[in-house]
Amino acid sequence: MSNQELCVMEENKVEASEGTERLSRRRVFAPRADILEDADNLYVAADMPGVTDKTVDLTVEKNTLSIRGRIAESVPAGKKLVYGEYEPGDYERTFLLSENIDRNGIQATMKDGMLQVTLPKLQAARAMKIPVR
Amino acid sequence: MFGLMEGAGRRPFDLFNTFPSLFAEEGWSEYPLMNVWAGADELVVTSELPGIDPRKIDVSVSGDTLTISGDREMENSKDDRSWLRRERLSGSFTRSLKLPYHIDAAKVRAEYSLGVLKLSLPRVEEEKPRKITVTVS
Repeated sequence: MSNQELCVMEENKVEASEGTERLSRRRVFAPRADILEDADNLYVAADMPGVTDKTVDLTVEKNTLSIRGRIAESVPAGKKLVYGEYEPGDYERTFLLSENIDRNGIQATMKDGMLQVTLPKLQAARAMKIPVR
Repeated sequence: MFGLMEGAGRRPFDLFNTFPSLFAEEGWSEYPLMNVWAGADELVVTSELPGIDPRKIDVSVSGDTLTISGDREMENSKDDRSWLRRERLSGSFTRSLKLPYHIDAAKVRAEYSLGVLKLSLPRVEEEKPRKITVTVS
């Protein structure tokens, strides 16, 4: 099943775990993500408002893909928060990759606070169309 | 849940009874979520709207009511791609928020950067607090 090619590790962190070296007291959220697939690639889109291409980190280690994003402190100068509905924070999320993903071909772009990752399938794993005669 | 996003600003704006630590539970009942910052003569409203074409965000101010509406398209939803997981929301949204004072609509500034919308909303001149000097007679 294609679903196994990219699993989401369901550790929806809300707070940084104890013992992690973290200098800021900011909260850490698991970004909301979509996963799509076609014959050649898997696509991950994740909402990470406040993160730039410089402050996002993607790492592949063995079979996990980790996404981390940091935001810049954004308190308007001389203003006081009087009504709050959301809390800005950093982002972290981990995905499990199957053997069928080409780890060296992963590409990512960051635009308007949205991360887009393209994960190519290995040639051997690509769906082949079999002509019916 | 993933269709049309709706939400009117039902929560009354109350400068004296809101605490910054009380953040709303994460959810989509009201979208987008907003934070309001106050200065002497100006409010700043921030809202997280990642992955939206800024031209598709509409901001309007009428008196003391701010309305943000827009449309979020899924650029990934091409025909040959199939969904394996869907958590991000798409569709159109509208939300209004009642502010503590009237805003000078002509002077509102809106910036969209890194998926965050930031609005600067100056108070109308006539309503700005004035210092009254006490003279000794």
